[in-house]
Amino acid sequence: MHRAVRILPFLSVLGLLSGPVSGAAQGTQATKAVETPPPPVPEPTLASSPKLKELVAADVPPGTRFPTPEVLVVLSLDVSAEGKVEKASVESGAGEPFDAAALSAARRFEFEPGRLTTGEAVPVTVTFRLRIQEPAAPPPPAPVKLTGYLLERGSRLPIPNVPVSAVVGDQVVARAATDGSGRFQIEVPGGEFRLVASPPDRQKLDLLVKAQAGEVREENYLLEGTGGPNETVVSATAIQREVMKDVLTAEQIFTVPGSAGDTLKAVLNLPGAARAPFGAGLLVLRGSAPGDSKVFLESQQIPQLYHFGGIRSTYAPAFLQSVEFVPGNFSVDYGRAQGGIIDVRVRDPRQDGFHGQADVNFYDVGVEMEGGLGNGWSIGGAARRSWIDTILPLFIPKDANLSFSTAPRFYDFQFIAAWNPDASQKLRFIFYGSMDRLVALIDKPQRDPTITGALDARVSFYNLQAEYQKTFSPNFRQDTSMVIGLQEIQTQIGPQYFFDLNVRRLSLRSTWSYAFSSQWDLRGGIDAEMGRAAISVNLPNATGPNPLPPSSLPQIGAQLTTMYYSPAFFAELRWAPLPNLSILPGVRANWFSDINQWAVDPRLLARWEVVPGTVIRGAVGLYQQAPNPQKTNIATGNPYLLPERSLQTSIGVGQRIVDGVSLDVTAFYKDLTRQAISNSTSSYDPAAARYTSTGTGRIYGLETLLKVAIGDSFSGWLAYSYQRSLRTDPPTAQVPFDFDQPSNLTVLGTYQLGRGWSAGARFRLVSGNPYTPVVGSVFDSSTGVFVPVYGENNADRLAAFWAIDLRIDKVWTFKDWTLTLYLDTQNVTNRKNQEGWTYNYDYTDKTPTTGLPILPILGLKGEW
Amino acid sequence: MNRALAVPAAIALLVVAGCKNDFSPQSDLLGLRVLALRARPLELAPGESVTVQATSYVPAGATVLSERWTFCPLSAGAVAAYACAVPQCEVELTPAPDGTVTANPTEIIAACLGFPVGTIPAGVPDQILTVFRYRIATDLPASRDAVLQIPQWTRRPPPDPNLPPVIDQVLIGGRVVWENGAPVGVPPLLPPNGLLPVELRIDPASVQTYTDAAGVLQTETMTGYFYTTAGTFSAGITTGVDTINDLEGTNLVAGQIAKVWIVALDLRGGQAVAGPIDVTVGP
Repeated sequence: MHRAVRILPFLSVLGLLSGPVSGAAQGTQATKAVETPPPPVPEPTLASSPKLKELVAADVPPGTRFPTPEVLVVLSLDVSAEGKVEKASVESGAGEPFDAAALSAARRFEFEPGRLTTGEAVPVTVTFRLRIQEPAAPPPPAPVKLTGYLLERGSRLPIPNVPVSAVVGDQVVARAATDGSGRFQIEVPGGEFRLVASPPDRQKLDLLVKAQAGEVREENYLLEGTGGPNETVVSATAIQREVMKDVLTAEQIFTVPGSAGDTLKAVLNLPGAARAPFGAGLLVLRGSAPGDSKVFLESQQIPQLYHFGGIRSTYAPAFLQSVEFVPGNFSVDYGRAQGGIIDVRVRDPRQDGFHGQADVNFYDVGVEMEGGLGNGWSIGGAARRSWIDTILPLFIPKDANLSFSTAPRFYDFQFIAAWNPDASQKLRFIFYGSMDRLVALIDKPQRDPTITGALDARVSFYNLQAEYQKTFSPNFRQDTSMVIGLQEIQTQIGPQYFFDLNVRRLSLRSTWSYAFSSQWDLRGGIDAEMGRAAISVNLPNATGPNPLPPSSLPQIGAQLTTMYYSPAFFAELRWAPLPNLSILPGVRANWFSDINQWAVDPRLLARWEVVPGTVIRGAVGLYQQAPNPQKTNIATGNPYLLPERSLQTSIGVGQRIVDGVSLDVTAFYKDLTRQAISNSTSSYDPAAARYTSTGTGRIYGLETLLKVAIGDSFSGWLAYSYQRSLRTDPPTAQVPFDFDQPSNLTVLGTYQLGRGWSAGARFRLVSGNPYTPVVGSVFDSSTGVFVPVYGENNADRLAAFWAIDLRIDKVWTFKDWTLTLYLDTQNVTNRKNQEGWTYNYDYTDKTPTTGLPILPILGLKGEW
Repeated sequence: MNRALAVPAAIALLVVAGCKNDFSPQSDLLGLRVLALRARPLELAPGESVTVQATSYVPAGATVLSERWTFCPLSAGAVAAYACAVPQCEVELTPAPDGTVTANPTEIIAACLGFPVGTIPAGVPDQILTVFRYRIATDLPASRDAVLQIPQWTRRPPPDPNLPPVIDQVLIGGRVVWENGAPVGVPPLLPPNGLLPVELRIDPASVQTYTDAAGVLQTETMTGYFYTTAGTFSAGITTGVDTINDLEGTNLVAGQIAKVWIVALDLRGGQAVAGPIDVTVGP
C-alpha cells in the first residue's frame, strides 16, 4: 500500500467542465506537487494526478433558492489508488443544502488514479472545486386550449359578458370573457387548473379542469340561476327594495318537487306563503286574504292566475325567466294590494338560431318555438292545452250524477317579439292569454234543488303588453309598459244562477330613475289602470263567513256597466350615507274610482350590510287597496267604503354562513284596519249597507329560510314560518283567519345523481286550517234543505297536514337537443290529509274531506 | 271579482265533491222529520193573517213530547239560522185543534214596536221577511227545527202573489194513487229487490213566473222531494212538473210497508204534500 501523496493546494487546477446539465456540477481536478527528501536514488514522483472520469451531479432539493446563479463548494477528496473517493470533506462551503449535495456527489466520483513516474497508481488527496449551477427553468408545456360556453341551465340561454379566469394555486393564469353567445376561449399553460366565473344572478362556476398539455377542448357549462333574498335577477337595478324577496329561476321552478313545474306554485314553497287546500293555488301571503295579494307579469297585473281547479297557472313557464316573491313590505312600485306580490319575469326569445321545446305530461301538452330574426329582433311563441277532458271521464263512474258535454279543458298561449338594437334600449311585445271551458249536466239535484241542470263556464282573458326600456346614460333610465286587455267570464249554474263579466282594460306604467351620485338616486313613475266592466250577475248573496246551501240564501242580482280608473303616482329616494347602508323612503298615492278615495302610502326601507355576508333589513309602510268590486259596487255592495289598509312592519337579517349556505330570518307585524266586512243587518234590512269598513285584524310571525347549494350536486331549502292571522269583524270577538296556519314547514331539495339523473323530494308539515263547527241544523221548508247552524267562527282546527312529494328527472343530452323524462309524484305516502268536513243532509253526521291522493305526474320534455 | 268568482266555483265544487258518500239519503225516513210547513197565503198584504200547518213524520213507537211554534216579524235569514232579528218581537203561537197556527204580523209588529196598526214608520222597507219556527221533540229522543219565511208587504198588497204548487196526481207503478189532495187508489206491490216508478204530476197552471233579484223574468222551478220509510228512492229530489222517480225495494221483505210522501215545492215558499201513501212489498 503506498502512502498517500499530498497535493499542494496551490497546485490544484480546475477540472473539466461538464456540459450544462441540470443539477450537474462542474468539477475541478487538482494536480499536485510532492515534496520529497533528497533521494539516494531518485524516488518516483507523481507523474499524473487523478483525473475525474465522470462527473456526478450534485442534487439539490427541488425549489432550492440559489443566492447566485452559481455557487462554489471547495472539497478535499482522498482519491484511492483505485480511483475511488475514500474521503470527502468541505474546505470552503456555500452552506446547506449545497455542501451536503456536493459531498454526496463527490463520494460517487470515479477518477483515473494518480500515478508516479514509475507508473504506479497511488492515493492522492486533491482539492476539488465543485460549482453548482441554478437549474434552468423547464420548458413550458404546451398550453391547454379550452373553448367553453356559459349557458343557463335548462334554457341553455347564453350568458354574455362574463369574465372567466383560469386559476392555478392562487394565481390567475389566464383570463377571458364570454361573448354574446356565451362563448369564451382560454389558453392555460399547464394541465390542471380551476375554471372560475361569477355571472351575476347565476350559479358560480368553480371547476377543476384536468387536461393534457396541448389538449384542445370544447365544453358547455350550464349554470343555474341563484336567486336569493338579497338578489334581483332581472330588475334593472340591483338595489334591494324589499326586506324579504326571493327569486326562483325557471329551472328551479321546473324541478321543485311536488309543484309539477307550475309557474306560481313553486314559489308557494317559500316562507310567508300559506298552504292552500286541495293543491289549489290560492295566494295567502303573510296571513292576508287571497284577494289581498297580486300577481304581475313584468309589473303588469295578470287578471286570472289559475285555470280551473287551481291546478295550473295561466302563464306557462315556456318563456319564464324567474318569479319574484315578496310576501310583504314591497316597494312603492306596486300597489292596490295590502298583502304581498309575485312578479313573473319573462325572458326574451333566443337570438342564436331557432330553438324550441315540447312538453307532454299528465295534465297538458305544450309546444314552444323561438328564434332570432336579425337586426336585434327575436320572436317566440308557446301554446298549451290540457287534456284533463280526455282523462277525467275515465275516473267518473257511469252512474254518476254528472255528465260532461264539454269536459274541463284549458288553453293558454304566449307570443313574444323582442327588439334589442343595442345595449341602451329594448322593445318588447307580449301577447298572452288563457281560456277555460266546461259544460256539464247535473242530471238530478243532490243536496240543493237549485243546483241542477246545465253547468256552463267559460273563462278567458287576452293581454297585449308592450314594453320599452331606454337607458339614456349610466345614471338615467326609464321603463315603460302598457297593456290592453280583455277578460271575459260567462258562468251559468242551473236555471237561476249566472255570472257574466266583460272587462276591457288599459294599464300604463312608466318608471324613471336617475342617480345623482353613488349616494343618491331617485325613482318615480306612474301606474295607471282604467277600464270598462260590464257585469250581469244573479247569485246567492253569501254574506256570512261560512258556507250555506245556495237555495237558502237571498239572491243578489245586477246588470250594469261601469267605468273605473285608478291612477297612481310613486316616488322613491335612495340615500346611501355609507357604502354599506341604504335608506329608501318612498311614497305612493293611489286613486280608487270605485270608492272615490285617494290613498297615500308612505313606505320606508333600510338595508345595512353590517359585515360582508351579513345584512340587516327593516321596513315599515302603509298598503291600501280598494275593497273588491262586489263590495263596492252600488248594486251589490257599498260604494262608500274606505280603502282597506294594512300597516306592515318587518325586520330581517340575512347571513351567508358559508359559500352556498345562507340563512334569512324575518319577523313581521301587520295591523289591518278598515277591512270591508259584510253587515249582517243587511240580510233583513234592505236599507242597511251590505258592507262596512269596520273589520280589523292583526298578523304577526317569523319567517326562516335556510338555503343550501352544494356545488352542482345539491340545492334546496328549508322554509319555516310561524304566523298568526287574526280578524275581528264587529260585533264578534277576535277569531283566527280562515288560513291561520301557525306552523308551516317546507323542506325540499334536489340532488344531481350524475349521468343526467336527478332526484328531489319535498316534505311539508303545516298546521291545519281553522274551521267553524256545525252545532245543529234547521229545516228550511220552503226549499227542503237543512241549513247548518254554526258555532263560534273558526273555533276548531283541522288536523295538521303533512305530505312527501318526490321527483325524478333523467336528462339525455344529444348533440342538438335534450330529452327530459320526469316523474313528479305528490303525496307519495297517499296520506289522507283532511281538508274539511263533508256533512250529511241534516248535519247530524260528518266525514273528513280529504285532499289529493297520491298523484304521479309523468312527463316528457324535449328541447332543441 | 274574486269573491263573485268564488261562489260559482264553490258551487261547482259542491256538485262534484258531493256526488258520493256513505250517508243515508235525505229521502230515507229513518227518524223524526218535518216534511213541510204549508202557509196560506204565501205573501201577506198589510194587516193580513197567515195560517201555517206542519207535516211531520214521527216514527212508529215514538211519542211526541212537545210541539212549539214561534213567530218573528223579522227573520235574520239563513246566515243567522233564521234567528229573530228583533228578539223582543218573537211570540209563541198556540196551535188550533187541527194543528195549525195563525198569526197577524202587522198586529204583532205594531204591538211589539209600539206604533198604531196601519202606521208604517219611514225606513221600513216595502217587504220584510217574517219567519215561523216549528220545533217538535219526541221521546226517542229526537227533535227537529223547521222554519218558513213569509214575505210581508208593508205598504201595499203583493202585486203578484205567490201561490202554492198544486199536485195533480201521483202515480205509482202506473196507477193513480193520489189525486186532488187525497188518496184515490192502492199502489201495486213493490217487488223485493225490484222497483216501482213513482210519478209526480204538478198542475202546470200552478207554475208562476216572477222577476228575480237581477230583474230577470223567471219561471218557478217545480221541485219534488220524495220520502219513504222503507226502501229507497233512486233520486231524492226531482225538478219539473212531471217527473218519475224509482222506489227501489232493496233489502225489503214481503209484507213490509213503505210509507211514501211527496212534497212539491216552488222554492219560493209554496208547498204541497201528497202522502202518506202505503206501498206494500210483494212476495
